[in-house]
Amino acid sequence: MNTWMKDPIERRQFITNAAKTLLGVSALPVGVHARPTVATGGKAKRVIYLYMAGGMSQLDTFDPKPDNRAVQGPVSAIKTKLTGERFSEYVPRLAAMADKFATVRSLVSTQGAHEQGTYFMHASYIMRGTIRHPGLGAWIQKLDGVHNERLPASVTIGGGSRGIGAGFMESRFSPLAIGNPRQGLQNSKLPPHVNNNTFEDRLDLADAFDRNFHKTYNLKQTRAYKDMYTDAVKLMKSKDLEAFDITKEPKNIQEAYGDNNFGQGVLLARRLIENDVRFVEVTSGGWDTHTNNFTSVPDKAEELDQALSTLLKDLDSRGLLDETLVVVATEFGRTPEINSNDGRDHSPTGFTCLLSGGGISGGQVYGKTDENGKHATDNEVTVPQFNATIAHALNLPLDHVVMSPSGRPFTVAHKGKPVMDLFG
Amino acid sequence: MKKMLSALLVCFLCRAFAGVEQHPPQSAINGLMNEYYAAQKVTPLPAISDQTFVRRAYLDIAGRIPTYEECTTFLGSKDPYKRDKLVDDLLDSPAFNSHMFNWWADLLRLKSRLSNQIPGGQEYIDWIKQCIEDNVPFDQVVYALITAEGYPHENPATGYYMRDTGMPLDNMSNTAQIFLGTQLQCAQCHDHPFDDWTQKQFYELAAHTYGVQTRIRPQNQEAFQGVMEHARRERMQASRDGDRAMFRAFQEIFAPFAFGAKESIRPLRLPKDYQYDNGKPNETVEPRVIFGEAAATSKGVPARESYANWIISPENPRFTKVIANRMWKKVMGLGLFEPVDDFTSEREITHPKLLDYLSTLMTDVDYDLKEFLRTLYKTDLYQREKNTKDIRHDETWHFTGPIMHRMTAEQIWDSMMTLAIKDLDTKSGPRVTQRYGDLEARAKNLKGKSSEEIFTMAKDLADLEKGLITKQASLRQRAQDMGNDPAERRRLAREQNQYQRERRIKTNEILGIDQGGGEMMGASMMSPNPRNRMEQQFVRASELPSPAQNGHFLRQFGQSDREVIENANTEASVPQVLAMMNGQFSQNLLHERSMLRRTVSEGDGLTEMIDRLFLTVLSRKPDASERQIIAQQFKKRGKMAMQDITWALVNTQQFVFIP
Repeated sequence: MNTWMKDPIERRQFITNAAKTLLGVSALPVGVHARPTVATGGKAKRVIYLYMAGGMSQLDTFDPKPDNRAVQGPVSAIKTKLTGERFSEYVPRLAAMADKFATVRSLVSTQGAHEQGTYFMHASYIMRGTIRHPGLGAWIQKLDGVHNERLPASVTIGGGSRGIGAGFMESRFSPLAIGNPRQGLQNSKLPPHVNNNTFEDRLDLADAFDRNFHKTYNLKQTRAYKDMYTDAVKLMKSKDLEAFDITKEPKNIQEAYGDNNFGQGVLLARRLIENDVRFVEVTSGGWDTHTNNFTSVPDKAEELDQALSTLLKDLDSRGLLDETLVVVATEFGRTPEINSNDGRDHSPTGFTCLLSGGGISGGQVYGKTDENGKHATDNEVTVPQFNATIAHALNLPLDHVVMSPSGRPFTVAHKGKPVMDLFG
Repeated sequence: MKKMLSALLVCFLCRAFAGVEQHPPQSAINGLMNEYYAAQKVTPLPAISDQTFVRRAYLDIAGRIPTYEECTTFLGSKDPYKRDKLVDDLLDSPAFNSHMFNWWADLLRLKSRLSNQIPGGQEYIDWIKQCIEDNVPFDQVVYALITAEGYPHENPATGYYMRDTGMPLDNMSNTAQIFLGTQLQCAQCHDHPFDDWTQKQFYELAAHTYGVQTRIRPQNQEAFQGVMEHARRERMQASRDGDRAMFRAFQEIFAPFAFGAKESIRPLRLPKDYQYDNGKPNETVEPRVIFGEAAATSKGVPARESYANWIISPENPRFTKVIANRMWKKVMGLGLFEPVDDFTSEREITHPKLLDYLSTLMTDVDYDLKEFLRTLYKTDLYQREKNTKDIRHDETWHFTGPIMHRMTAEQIWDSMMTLAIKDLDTKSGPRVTQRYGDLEARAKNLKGKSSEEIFTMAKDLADLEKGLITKQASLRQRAQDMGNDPAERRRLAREQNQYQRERRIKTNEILGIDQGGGEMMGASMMSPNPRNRMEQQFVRASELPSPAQNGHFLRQFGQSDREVIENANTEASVPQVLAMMNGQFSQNLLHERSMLRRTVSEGDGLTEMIDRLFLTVLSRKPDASERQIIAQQFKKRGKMAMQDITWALVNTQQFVFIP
């Protein structure tokens, strides 16, 4: 039993279960589904998902067009580890280790606005007014359970208010949100003037005052709160809490990830997945470069370049890269045209995402865009396909139907087919 | 509208005459319940004490726990009718309006910011708040929402459609779900698998509102056309491909008219892959209601008005029952049918007579929700003890008492605030400003301006942009020449930001807009002083941006994200408990400046101080065994015991549940 979050079974849920039988779809309890027998991917146990919020310019990062000055602007291209492939000058470290990840240059989204694009990228379904779809973290927990029941199954770090969480699933499938990675888990430490004895004492007092209340009310929900206090206190004292504390890392490691919120968030993500948190998303904001593209992107790219290159090396040296899928994603790319504010506008017809570890075969560039970097021309990868690739790396059953409380059927990655060429 | 008013008047008169000899409606409900208990051979739960009542009534009606004064005033009163009087007083308090807003916000998915581009979220929220304050009857609010026409600065109810911009079919599904308790989402793509609705019916219903356009194209803007004509005379190619600066200038000027709810002729067609025999793919669908008769589809009545009239008609078999049941659930904790938004025709109703009576009552009070709630809060049932054990799924709750729940996120927040500060209910919160600032001021500024004047304005804006191109070019050149020096890059970024800010200020000057708005795009207007900033957030949940940001105390405790209908939850989680034990708010309560500490310190002697503490936090005095525990704590910890006990009370479960 996952003790992180408990919930009362809603009457609505009861109706959902009835609906499952009516529709004749699988009502197998989660966790006992038949595993796909062919497991060509399926090595990943967890995911670090780096999200470039606002729309990362493919031209100024991983898909430059150095021969087309009109679209490239002031950015030059540099050689990568892969023969014949070039990245922008803003990601030198990643260029030097391009053999460690797959560069997918042919992402195509149907959504050109931030909110809708972000939603689609995370949920694989188009945003609607009548339902919220779950994000990948919730899907992993729903289809494959938790690996460390003292910690949440999924965590988001530095995410804005657009975070996609449990969707229609119960709230225990929601990711835990961490605002500032340097502060770790909010409120998990005693206030400065309270020592442990005082704390214990106060807990006993609260218990004593509640004795009559608990004698009178024996409800699932009141018991859940009692358990939650026990769990929270346990967590405060447990070793697991250290997973949230990046100050436990050696100074040189902290520095290697970059002295900025994103870099430190990536470091926190590594600590969390080491403790078997299954899905950690770290958001890097500020990619919406309608203005001043050529001064904003270098800063953002530098953060990504430093944090991701360090992460891949770090995971590799710890022997974790095989079991950990690292994703770099964004809602769309940006236009080849440079506007009058020296910026680039939204362009969802051909943009770049990265995949590494978890059975992905590194050192390949998959798909390409036209000479302007506007449209994907080769091996187009749709958003559901991209997410199906992630789900396949995790060995999740792509056809397992989960019903929403209103009785509508949904699958992880919305019937997208995984891009098998990306696996080794 | 006129017809509606006269109908209201007639109803009112009927009620006025009938009311003289009738018993109050709560007696009728009491009678029905007693009849039911006898038939089912069940015994109702005992009546609650005054101290349970005062806490329950404050939380349910005012949305927060009572203060020490409020609590002791009630408990000390000898008036035999004091419960009814408290219900009346609370219903007429601003606290009730605040609490009621949360209910509306969950139902209509009210968001302070609809999106980066779409304005009107705050205006829509303010409009709903005004309706609550004016106690506009529910059916009239619904009518105003469904028939909303215009721009947000003229008619903020247009937010009902703008909330679902680009998703007109979803908007209709939501209408059916909220107001008719009818779930049609399935039928959007295929015949409903376990209800009667066909996909064709879905489209026929949607055809009533499909003509509503929310994204208004410049060509459709009247004011715009004159200016465009002028532009043509001046041989301007104000388009994306032509004079882009001019194009953007027009966009900026006409921003208040870019979104709204405008009726247009837009036929709804069956989908390309329509698979049933009752229609052909791509066939145009005529509006038709899914049950009952459409109200007055006579000539001259637009589809949307007849649709709205059909929805709110007392003859509509679902509208009245659904809202009556929602109110019943709000008071008693469980609907007479559940889920409250899925009232299928074959749904088993355990108390059919009661549901019928509640529907009659709802029409009798002319959909005045406050009046309806007043009756429910005065029933015997509301004032009974609650269930002490879980109700099994296969079990029918006989309503021998209301249902036990945890406080909502908003009730917990508002209660914590009650402990922290004074005069909570009258404090207003930070306003969320929108990208285009004050739409009304902008629109007003345009009114009365001739095409020539607006054209000049646009030209000035375009010239401003063009004039700044040199500055822009030099910044750009420097960006190109710049090496990889981060300090230099930061310096340049600062200059660029400064440039953007100046540009915004000059733009506002040309538009004639007050510099206050518009500049802080989407951010809350915050005081620069951190202390004031913190205190600006110490307001009732209804006064904070909707929804609160991710990770906020309110969201941790399950406040709805206001993305789907009624999406709040009251589930327990570890982060909640951590917040209660170690969070800033719990610490604030222990601070000597908190309302709680000040109330306690006014007590004369230790016993009274402890009484005050218990009454303030739990609305009751400690019992004998608790007094013993307290005495021991003082023996052990001396003066520090007061803080320990305070902390402990806030961390009890009886604090967050509503017995």
